[in-house]
Amino acid sequence: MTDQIAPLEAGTQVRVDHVDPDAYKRPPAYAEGAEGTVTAVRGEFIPPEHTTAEPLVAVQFAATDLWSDTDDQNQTIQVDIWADCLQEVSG
Amino acid sequence: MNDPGDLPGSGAHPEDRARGLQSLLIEKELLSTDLVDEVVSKYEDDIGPMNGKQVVARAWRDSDYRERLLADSTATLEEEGLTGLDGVEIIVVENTEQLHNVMVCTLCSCFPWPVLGLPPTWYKQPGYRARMVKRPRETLREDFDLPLDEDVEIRVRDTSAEVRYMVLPQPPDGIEDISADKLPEYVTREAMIGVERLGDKHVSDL
Repeated sequence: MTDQIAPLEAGTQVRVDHVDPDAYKRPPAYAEGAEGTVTAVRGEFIPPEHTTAEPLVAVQFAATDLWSDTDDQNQTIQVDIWADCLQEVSG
Repeated sequence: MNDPGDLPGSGAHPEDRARGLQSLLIEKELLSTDLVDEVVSKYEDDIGPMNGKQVVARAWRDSDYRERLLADSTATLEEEGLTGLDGVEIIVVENTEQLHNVMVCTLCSCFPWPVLGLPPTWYKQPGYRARMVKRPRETLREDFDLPLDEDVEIRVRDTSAEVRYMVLPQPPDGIEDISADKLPEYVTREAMIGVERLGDKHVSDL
């Protein structure tokens, strides 16, 4: 499990960590290992089968960063991902 | 991938299967017909896209409400008694000339039911869920007769159990001539999902 330095905030560049998060918090397969931008902090929610609330953030990806066989330059995908499935990247 | 032929009862029509299950549960006194009727009538009368249509129509004519709705959708909807999903956010996203939001649940079929009711069958199917996230422009053009130019950004919202989305579509032309009580009739569920665009139309077309 990676250490979170600080709560993620809008504007942060992140990568979806390819570790083995538990089944209830797994990000969508298409986002595994992808880099995107946090666009909003959704708040704290209790994941299914968990008892404590954890932060969930909105992450936006460009389609071209998710799939190699798309050339749509004007398509984005926004997904809500549990903060501990994200690693901050610099630059 | 499951071959549907392997699953028990997979040959039966879904409606027949549901009726069979209902009979069995009632026979075993695990379910009452009153309860079934109550839930059905709740979904026919109280919960459904008419709620979302009211929200959209109000946002079209009241800019203060629209601002509050977009700033904190869940709180604004709660004021009107339009949530019912504890601990769940419903986020209203605005479509414009240059930005087209559309929602899908790639994992299952999460849907903002307090404002839109039960999801349409096509929304729940693997075809939509796989294609809309990856090829939205093509899917909108081919499956929904909604061509969007390359200069319109398409933003796919992959909805989840915790955070659901609803689109605030652009109004059609001519709504100034429509009375407030009739305005919700010009909103469609498809436009609130993002597979239809009303802003390119005139009220006389709807």
